[in-house]
Amino acid sequence: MSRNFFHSLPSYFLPLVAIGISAGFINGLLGAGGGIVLVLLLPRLAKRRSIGDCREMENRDWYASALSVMLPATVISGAVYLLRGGMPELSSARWLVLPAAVGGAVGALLLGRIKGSWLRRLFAALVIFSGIRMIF
Amino acid sequence: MSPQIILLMLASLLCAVLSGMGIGNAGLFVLYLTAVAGIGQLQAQGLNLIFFLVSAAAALLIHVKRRKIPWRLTLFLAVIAALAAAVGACVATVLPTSALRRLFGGMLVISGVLTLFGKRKGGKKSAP
Repeated sequence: MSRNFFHSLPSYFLPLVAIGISAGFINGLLGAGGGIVLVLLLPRLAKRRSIGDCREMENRDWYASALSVMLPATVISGAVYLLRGGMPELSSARWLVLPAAVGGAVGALLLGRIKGSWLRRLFAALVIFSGIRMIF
Repeated sequence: MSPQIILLMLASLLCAVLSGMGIGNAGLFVLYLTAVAGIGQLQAQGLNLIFFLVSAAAALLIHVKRRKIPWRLTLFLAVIAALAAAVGACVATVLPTSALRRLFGGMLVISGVLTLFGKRKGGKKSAP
């Protein structure tokens, strides 16, 4: 009976699905921001419901995991944007590719090595300020 | 190369470094594209997707060997997120720009506040 199947699912199944849906939907809708949902909620869920795979994970590991979850979603989002005419002139996109690749690698090497707290606060302030301006 | 292109490359580099470091990618590049480069909201989001694809892939190549990534979990989430992303992207392409900008702004405010108050430092400290 299908009831047995649902009973055999781990208790974190539904919250996990909810988190995945939220992160993916935000990625598609806004092109950014999905990863924050994962980085914020997954460690807490993993700790509360003892997800086996996730013992001894550090913040840096969660961050890397969020990246790997969001990559396929980003491909899908991009494909939909492209198919529905939401992508701009892709000729300008080629210029951002090399710096993005270099920067991504450099940032990954720096992750956890540089204490980013003041930078983080500066970034947060900028982002909040810009966000408010965009709303009104 | 025109100054705009140089600026674009610099912005891309800077945002990618910050993003790889875990300081945040939530929209910084989009902000640059809309506020400085004058690109429309949806188009900026689309470019950001490409940007993220490249910078995250590059970062992941570094991360894969050094970090502990629970692959079964991430695969499961990736499938779900991809499906939800398809829906979200469809919604994005039909929403008016003003609505999209407001939603994006809201996301920026929330993520900024969470960064200040809720999010843990991206450091070596392990989860308690």
